[in-house]
Amino acid sequence: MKLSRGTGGGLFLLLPALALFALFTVVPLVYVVRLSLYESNMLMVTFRGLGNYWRIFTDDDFRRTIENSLIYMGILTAGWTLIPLFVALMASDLSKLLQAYTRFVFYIPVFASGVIISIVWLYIFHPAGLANWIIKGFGIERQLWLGQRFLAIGAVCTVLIATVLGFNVAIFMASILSVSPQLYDAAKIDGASRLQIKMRIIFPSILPSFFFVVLVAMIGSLQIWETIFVMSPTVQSYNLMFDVFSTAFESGRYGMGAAKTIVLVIMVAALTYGKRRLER
Amino acid sequence: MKRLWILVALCLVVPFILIASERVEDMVLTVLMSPEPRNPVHEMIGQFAEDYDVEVEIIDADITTGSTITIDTMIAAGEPPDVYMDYLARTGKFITPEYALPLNDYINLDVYNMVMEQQFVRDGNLYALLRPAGIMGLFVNLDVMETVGLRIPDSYSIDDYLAAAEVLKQHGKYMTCLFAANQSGDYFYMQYFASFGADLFNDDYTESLADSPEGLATMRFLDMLIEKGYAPKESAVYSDDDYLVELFKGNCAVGGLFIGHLAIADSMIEQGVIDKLPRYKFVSFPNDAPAVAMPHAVVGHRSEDKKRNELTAALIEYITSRKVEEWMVTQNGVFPTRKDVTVEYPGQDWADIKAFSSRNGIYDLGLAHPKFGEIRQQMFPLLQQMYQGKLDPQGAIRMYDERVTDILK
Repeated sequence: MKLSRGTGGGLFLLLPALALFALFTVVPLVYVVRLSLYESNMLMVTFRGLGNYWRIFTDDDFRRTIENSLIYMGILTAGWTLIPLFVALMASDLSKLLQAYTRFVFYIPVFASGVIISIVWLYIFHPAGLANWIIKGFGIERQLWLGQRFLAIGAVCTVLIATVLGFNVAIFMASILSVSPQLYDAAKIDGASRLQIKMRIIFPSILPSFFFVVLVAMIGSLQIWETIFVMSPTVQSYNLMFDVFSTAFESGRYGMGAAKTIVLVIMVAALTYGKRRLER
Repeated sequence: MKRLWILVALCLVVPFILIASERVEDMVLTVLMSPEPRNPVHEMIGQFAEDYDVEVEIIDADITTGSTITIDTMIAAGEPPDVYMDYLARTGKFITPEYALPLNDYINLDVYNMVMEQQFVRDGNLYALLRPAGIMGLFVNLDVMETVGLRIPDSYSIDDYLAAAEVLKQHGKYMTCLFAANQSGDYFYMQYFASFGADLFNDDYTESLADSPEGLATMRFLDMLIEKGYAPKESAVYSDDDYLVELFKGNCAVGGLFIGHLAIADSMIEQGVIDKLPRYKFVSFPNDAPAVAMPHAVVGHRSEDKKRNELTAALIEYITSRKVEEWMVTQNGVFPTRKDVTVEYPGQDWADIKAFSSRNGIYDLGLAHPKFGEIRQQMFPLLQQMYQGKLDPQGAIRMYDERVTDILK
């Protein structure tokens, strides 16, 4: 392949970034792939070949973990995209000042530490906490929010949606602002209602941003960890990321943890590839 | 363009040359330990550094997850700590001939009691020393007991325990609190296996024996405590922190505890969680059960450098010195490991614990096993399900047994 004159200079400028990418991404990935072929507790190392992969794919607990990851992905992707989109579309009718205020208010939780927010919600979902106090008022028996699989998943998702949606509200509001006013004017002249403008003009115009947010949400939902760590919900509600942490760092089974990490990497890669195909 | 490439090559090569030309640093010994404020061990480490003219760096171990994450990371980075001291459940993994320094080559062991240390002997070499060990007793809230007209004798059966539980239930109190949010504090309820006479392991720790009539009886007992309302139904989501709060608040009348944990009550009083520590006494667990000990071990790393090994061993002698041990004994109510330590914890509770543990013996939870960290991850998920009625005791103990045996293989 013959490189053009500009290519050499471009490659040279990319060198530092490529070096960092190699050092912090490629090298660790190669190491993790290698580690996944061994059983290791950092002291004793035994070659297992694909044995770790065989064990995890024949383990019911791991299958449940994958199911949970997909459930988290579904709920969080919907929560992190549709709710912010709805808020941004509604806010597009407001004055500039109110739009800025809306953006600020929703963004406040994004500033806060995830750990602190999780601790606060832990007390809300505690058996003697606010959530049970509220449902008691409706005559409902108090629940073990963090003790049952789907309730725990719901509790964790509630925390994450409340915390992160402000970030996506800001993205969508910025995208909406970039839609040409002439399109609005033309639509109004044609007699389009506000809803029709939102669904037929604004939403299609911000579709690239929407796909980007969806992809980031899907990938991000696979990587949630600190909320689960702090809230300590039932083991039945663990996702793949937390399972990796628990296997490697709590049980000291680094080889097995590495194998689960590779599964996670493949899931993320598949998502990214799928998104690109969809966009075409 | 050519000059630019030469410049880039120099930028990449020169740093490596500079790094390689650095002179060898002076030796620095590292001690990895969980934070122990007020313990004179810091003073003794400083004394060692002065006496041997060696720099010693103390690194705080992160034990928030109850795992060995800090030392694992150091080993992965190629810089294992020279001395590691921590709860035996975590240090057990490193007490192996491949990792640990054989201390009998360097230290005069005559000054130590060498009772529990026998478990650290491999091929005639001693690979760790113990620090003074706490012994767990059943903390009995005398205020609650006397309110309902109950008295727990020094020796009593499971039936006596359950009878007391029923009386307490009638008065709106729980007999005890259980928890299963994570593996932390699992020794508080694993002690009940001792009450039923259940052995957890075979002699050479190659197989779990938990799935026995005694093991099943223990799980049925724990399940019954929840089912009959003798322990909170929320136990599945409680952590050991919740357990301690409920115990000191008096919502639960009894529960496993070490004397050293009483200091947590001071913190609760400061934060307004409780007004004061209730009146209490320590008794053995039901059926004169052998007691659970919570020893900490000190492990030295075996280096290729002979001089470093000598210094590491000397440092361990300072860490396990008489001064440190006397402080720990008088402050925490623990059994000394040195023959020359004759002081005792100045309280009736220690006298009580010492009496029943000497009478009943010590229960083996398998703390010293290298894979104990992995083993203790297996019980709490099963208890979570059992306490919510999603798993029966027979299924729970069978699954636990299978998983532990799988780990031990």
